[in-house]
Amino acid sequence: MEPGEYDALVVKARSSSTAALELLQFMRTHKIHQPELVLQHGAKLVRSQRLGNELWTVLEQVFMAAAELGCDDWRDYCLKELTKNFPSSLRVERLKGIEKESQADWKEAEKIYQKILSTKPEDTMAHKRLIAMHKQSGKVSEAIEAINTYLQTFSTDSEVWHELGELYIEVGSLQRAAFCFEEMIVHNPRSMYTILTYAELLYSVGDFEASRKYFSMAAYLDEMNLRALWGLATCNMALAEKDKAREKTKQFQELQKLTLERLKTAYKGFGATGKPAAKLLAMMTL
Amino acid sequence: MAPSAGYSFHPQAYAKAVLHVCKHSSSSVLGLFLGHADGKVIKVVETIPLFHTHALGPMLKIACMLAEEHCKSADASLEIVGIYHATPSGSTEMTPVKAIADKIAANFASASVWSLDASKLPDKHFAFKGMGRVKDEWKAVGSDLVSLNSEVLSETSRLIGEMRFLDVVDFDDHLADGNKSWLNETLFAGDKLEKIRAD
Repeated sequence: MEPGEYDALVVKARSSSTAALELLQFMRTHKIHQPELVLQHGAKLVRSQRLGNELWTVLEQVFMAAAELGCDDWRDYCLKELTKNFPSSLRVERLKGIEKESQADWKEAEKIYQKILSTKPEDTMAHKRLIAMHKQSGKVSEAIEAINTYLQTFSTDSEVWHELGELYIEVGSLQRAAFCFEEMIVHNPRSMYTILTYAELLYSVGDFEASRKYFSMAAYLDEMNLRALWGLATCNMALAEKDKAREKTKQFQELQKLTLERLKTAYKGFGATGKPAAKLLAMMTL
Repeated sequence: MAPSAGYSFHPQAYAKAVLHVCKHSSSSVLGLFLGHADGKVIKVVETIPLFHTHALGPMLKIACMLAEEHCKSADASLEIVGIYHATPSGSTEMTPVKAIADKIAANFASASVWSLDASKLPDKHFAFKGMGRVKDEWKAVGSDLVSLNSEVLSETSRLIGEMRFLDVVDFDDHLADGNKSWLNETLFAGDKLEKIRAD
């Protein structure tokens, strides 16, 4: 996804139904979560009755958005249409579970998911919904326990490692969160998001040296990545404070100089936010 | 420092914070309130939306330092006076942000923490539950201590209805695309909200 690509689509979708459909597709592919937009455009598209084969995907997408936003009419309509067309579909069965969840009927939802699992124990979606239900009712420790059990069977599911990592961050167990992100790096060593979050976690637990390495790697993979550059600058500052003599060596001075130069160049083109950034960068010179 | 006699919110500061939490209703959201003490009243005059993912050390530090630089150049008396946050579960407990709040309080003794209470939004009531720093402890802020022009509440509702929250940019967005400004200087340009004066 290019910067600005999504925003341009959002604007275009206001005036053309082809663009609206494109926007919905884009949101599905890139997992962009903005249910209000889905409902707004999806509802219009469904009403137009010109969706052809896309209809079912859009109905499912609108259903999810409506269930989340508490828009019961659309939720019920979409589910009714989908059930009519796919009476024996497992995918629709899961949606019925989600419908119950949106009504806070946890017992009924659990029944539906357990039923799916009794015939198809490898159905990861149903497992994930059960975990998500713990989370929704605010039971974080139960959710963590359920995820750990899940990972004993499906240990390569990095989406779930991610979920576990975020939960650990939420409860402040940063060492454990870091472990989850290590798993994710093993699965996908070039994911900027994972590398950067891991670097931030290492910094937060006080391992500035390792954090600097991962921020450096991110800045190597994507030269002008702001998160990587700011992170690198912060690490350098923290390390300089810890060990003054070592950080005075030419190598580390050069690293900070390069980082700050890149940030300065980047912020020249950024308008209003450039002013505070320039001042801060001037202060950060070692 | 003596307990604060009240908190006064600038219309745009309140609206921006509410729009920010509405944009990311299924994530944890965090932002800063900038302002100053005016006698015993804390005036919140500006909002800096920060994160809608996790708030971890390095980026939080940079964001606060940038906000401080912004304060210095905007108005010498401006400083970080508090934070606001929201959770996807709707809990108004301050526990998830307590460590951050303590840091803010170390720099500004009368700091406050505002948790979104989304149930108040449909009725057009003030939608944050406040905790104020009083003698090294966090104490609930009575709703009678909050002052906000009543027109702002209905205008904020209107802005939510118009889905204007989609236009709010936070520091997370800025880090992903530097052209997006976390200062949100044009968010309310030409809007009726601009004309409402602070109480």
